[in-house]
Amino acid sequence: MREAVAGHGKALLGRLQAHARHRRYGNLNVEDVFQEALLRLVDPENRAQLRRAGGEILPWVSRWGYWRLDDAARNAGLPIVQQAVQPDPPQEGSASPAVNALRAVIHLLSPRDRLILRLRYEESHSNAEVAAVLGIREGAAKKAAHDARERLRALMRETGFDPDSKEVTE
Amino acid sequence: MTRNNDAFETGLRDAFAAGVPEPEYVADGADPEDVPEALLFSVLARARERSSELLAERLREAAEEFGWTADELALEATDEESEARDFLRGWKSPQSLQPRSLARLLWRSGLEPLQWQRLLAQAVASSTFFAATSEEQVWGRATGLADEERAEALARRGERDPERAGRVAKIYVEEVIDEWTSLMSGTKTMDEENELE
Repeated sequence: MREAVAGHGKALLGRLQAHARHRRYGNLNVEDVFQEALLRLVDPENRAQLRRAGGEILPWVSRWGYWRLDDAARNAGLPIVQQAVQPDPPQEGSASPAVNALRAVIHLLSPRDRLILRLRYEESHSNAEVAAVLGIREGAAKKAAHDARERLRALMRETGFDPDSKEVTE
Repeated sequence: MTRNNDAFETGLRDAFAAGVPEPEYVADGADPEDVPEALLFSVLARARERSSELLAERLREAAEEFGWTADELALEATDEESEARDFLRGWKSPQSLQPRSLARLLWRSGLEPLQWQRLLAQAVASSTFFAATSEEQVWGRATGLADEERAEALARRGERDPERAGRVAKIYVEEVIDEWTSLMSGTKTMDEENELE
């Protein structure tokens, strides 16, 4: 753990402070999120998941830290859409406004939820295959996918879209 | 699945088919910042506790799946119920329990060794300290050490001999696995006997 803090701590702290500064969150949650992000490495399941995904530690803890800062800001009542990461969506013209909204809101999900939805809907993995990637049981993968969908649905409502509108499918 | 769910599912597929790029973050290019000593100490101290807490959480969740509370599970640790309760609340290291007591908790929870052995080794290793001449100097309130000096001394102290702590943890985990295996074989024998009856 000392190696992780020494090796990645400085870079992570710099990134989190820059993210909070860039989004005008203030430094209120930075140290807590820094600590939580590094503590995620204590869980062998998280480390195994990271290894299986072939990822590197710093981008992984950074993404999680950014999301936690965004989440804390949202819980503190800061506006979501203005603060959300909104990359330029490809094929903007061909997708409906509702699908574009859904695509933008997906970025407000945690990195784990995004990964699960990506595996299910982009790569069409079965629950068993998602379970293998995440190193969890098939039942847990099914529940995790359900929970991720429900969190996405709640985020859409928060941002003023009706997730169950027919328009989403058009 | 309801019609609304169908609409939402189809919307998700459409969104991913259209492409959902991972966000790019300006902060990835930020310069490193020195980690304050107090924050470093706090992270390391929490990391030491976290393995035990995670193991306790895993046990509680597994027990809850079949309707047991943590206190009910603790009763399985005969003669060590109080230590088991403290461990299951995340207050104590698993090593505060005899291997047989811990094995009983794990066995009753239905967890397989692959689900806990690495975490257990980590929890025991991180909470194993060896007596050292400087211990009182580090912990004593009247030592005159400033907070930062104490933090530094404690941070060093925890990793004074990680290899030795790892060996202690390995032995403890092996003992727990042996106890768990014998409990499992006992269960099988009882099951087989029941089948014969």
